[in-house]
Amino acid sequence: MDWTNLLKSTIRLADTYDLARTPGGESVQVGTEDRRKNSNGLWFSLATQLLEYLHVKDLTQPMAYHSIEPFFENLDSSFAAFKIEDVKYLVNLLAKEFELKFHNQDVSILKNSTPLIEKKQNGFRCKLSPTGISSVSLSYTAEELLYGDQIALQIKKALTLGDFDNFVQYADKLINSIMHQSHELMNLLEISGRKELREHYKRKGDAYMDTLEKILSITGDIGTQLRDPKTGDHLDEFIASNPDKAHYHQFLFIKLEQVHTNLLGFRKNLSKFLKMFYLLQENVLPTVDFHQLSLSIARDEIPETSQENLMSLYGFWFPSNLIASPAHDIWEKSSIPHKTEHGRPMFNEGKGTLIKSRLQQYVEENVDTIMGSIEEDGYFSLHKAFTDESGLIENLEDLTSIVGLCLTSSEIKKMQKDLVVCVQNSTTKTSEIENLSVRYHDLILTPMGQ
Amino acid sequence: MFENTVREQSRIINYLLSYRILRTHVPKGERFKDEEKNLARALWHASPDTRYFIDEFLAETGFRIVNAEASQTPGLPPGSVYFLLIRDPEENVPAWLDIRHLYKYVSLKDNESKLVTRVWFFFIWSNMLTLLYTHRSRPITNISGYGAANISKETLINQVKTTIEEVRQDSFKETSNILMQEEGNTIARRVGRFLDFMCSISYLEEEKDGDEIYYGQTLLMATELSENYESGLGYRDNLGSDVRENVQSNLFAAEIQEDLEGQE
Repeated sequence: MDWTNLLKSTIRLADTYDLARTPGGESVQVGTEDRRKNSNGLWFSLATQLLEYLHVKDLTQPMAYHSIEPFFENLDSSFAAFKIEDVKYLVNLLAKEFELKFHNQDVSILKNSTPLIEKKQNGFRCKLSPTGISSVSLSYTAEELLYGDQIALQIKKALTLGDFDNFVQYADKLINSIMHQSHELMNLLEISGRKELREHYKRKGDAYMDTLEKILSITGDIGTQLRDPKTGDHLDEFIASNPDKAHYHQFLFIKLEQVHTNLLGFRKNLSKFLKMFYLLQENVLPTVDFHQLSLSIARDEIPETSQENLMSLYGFWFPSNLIASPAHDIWEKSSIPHKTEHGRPMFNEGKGTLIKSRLQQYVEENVDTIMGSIEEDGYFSLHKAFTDESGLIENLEDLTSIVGLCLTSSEIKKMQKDLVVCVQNSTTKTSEIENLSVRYHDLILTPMGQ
Repeated sequence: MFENTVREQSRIINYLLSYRILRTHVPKGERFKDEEKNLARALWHASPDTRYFIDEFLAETGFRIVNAEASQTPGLPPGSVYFLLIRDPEENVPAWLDIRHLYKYVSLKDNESKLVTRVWFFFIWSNMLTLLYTHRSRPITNISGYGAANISKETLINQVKTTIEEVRQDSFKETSNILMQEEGNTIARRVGRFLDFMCSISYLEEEKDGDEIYYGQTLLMATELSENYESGLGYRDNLGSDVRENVQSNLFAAEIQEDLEGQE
């Protein structure tokens, strides 16, 4: 039983029931008032354990009244400060009728139905009330998917009976159940804690997988049944008497598809979780104190280079940097941003002489940088030339066409060496030359003969 | 649906490099970007060979795709798949990826030094993470918490100012002149530019709530921070140690490795 789910919703709803706010108020802030004096959860735990105890007793001896003394004697050490009177108090509390007024509902009936426990007129022998029994069954909801094949059978039966509204209702129930647990698993992957729940999924991992297979098999049958002409006839009749549900022709298939995709998602999350669990590779990282990092920056304690490296790692690049993207080598040229800066000539045709004159012009204008780079690194990367708004590469259809192009020192003033356009690419070592794919950042200028 | 030719594959890659999030479905009230719908569906239905080509191509350039499916991830439209492009720290930084454009985008003046821009950017960034994670006691691995994580411009400005004041009042330690000398409303302008930049790289998205504008964390940012955290800020196994030390040691280790590779 997982009382946490029930508690979360019940207490929050009880908050709204007890609300001290008068309708028509302006403020939207929830006040600081704290009505809960015992927020350690012990009283709630005692109450749920008592309900569970009575539930177990009820299974062995239905509808009988049971003594609370064995329950009190078996309480664990967390309840060391509790006396039998505390348990009796709780029995009285849970057996007491409270009037709960619900909008548009019969108050007198509700008053009788609020106790979770019924006790004998005298003494403290007690049993679960009908509301108590339904509370206990509600606490099972967290395990619902484990019995999800039963819901899938309900969907199938609803379809067989032509009960299409129930088909949708049960399908939603199953989808919600799967999504709830899928997200619960995701939380276990992302956040530490909840050991018991982790153990639960580990222990019942195989059972979940079995259930998933069963559900998939049943939903396969449902799909076949949905396509059956007889079902189509039933659906036509149903729509004839419910014209607002004409969309059910597609809607039922969509619901089934949603069940299917969510099942697959749950299976992936469960597999990921079990893999992590069995390999003992918990990937959860606790909260990081980024404030300390801010303080370190403000105190000049983080080196500049480290900051720049971090930025590269997280890829803080600007989207308009597309021109430099390697994918542009195989990207349709029309999408390259039009560049007209500096009034430089543009490549508008692929003639060798024109390309050469453009490159010569570029080298001439940047000869110092290029020669410096060659002296330092042995080469100059043309990637820089192609990305600095020069217009050098615009409309160049085939980069390989300029590979091998020579620029001699006699053609360009100040250049002491003859240079050649080469490919610096690891693929040239392994690929056949016919399959060579050249990208912008692969092209370099190197001195001839090296 | 178009054929998976080389051209289409390159369009997918280009889209991912530009926007970094490719969605098969969009939430109600939002619109697809140009070509997004077709490209996303093409990628989702791509043959194993095509997908292999795209993954390999991206890996070569230092990226990888993370698939987020609605059935596994909260907050996505039903039945949708989001393809997120994140940097792969196992691969080298691609030659064409540099942060020059970032400087242009976030600097306040044309002639502002890169050092000033960078320190401010990094400082605002860490303050933003303080608000999105530290103040919410949110683990860095908590990707699905992205939906609830948002900030307003004013909150971030206040956080930045508070941190500066905190440092200023601690007279025993040295302080950054760059951060301490800022005057007037320049902090607000810097934060504004920073937020615009974060939106432009799909790390944040604007949320309008009446007259208020908030900046919500995207699934991409949450995923990338979680996936690359150990390689980046470097928490590693030293849970008790100082974050700053980890940042330095890990990043210096990366630099040394780069130097060694350079020498080879």
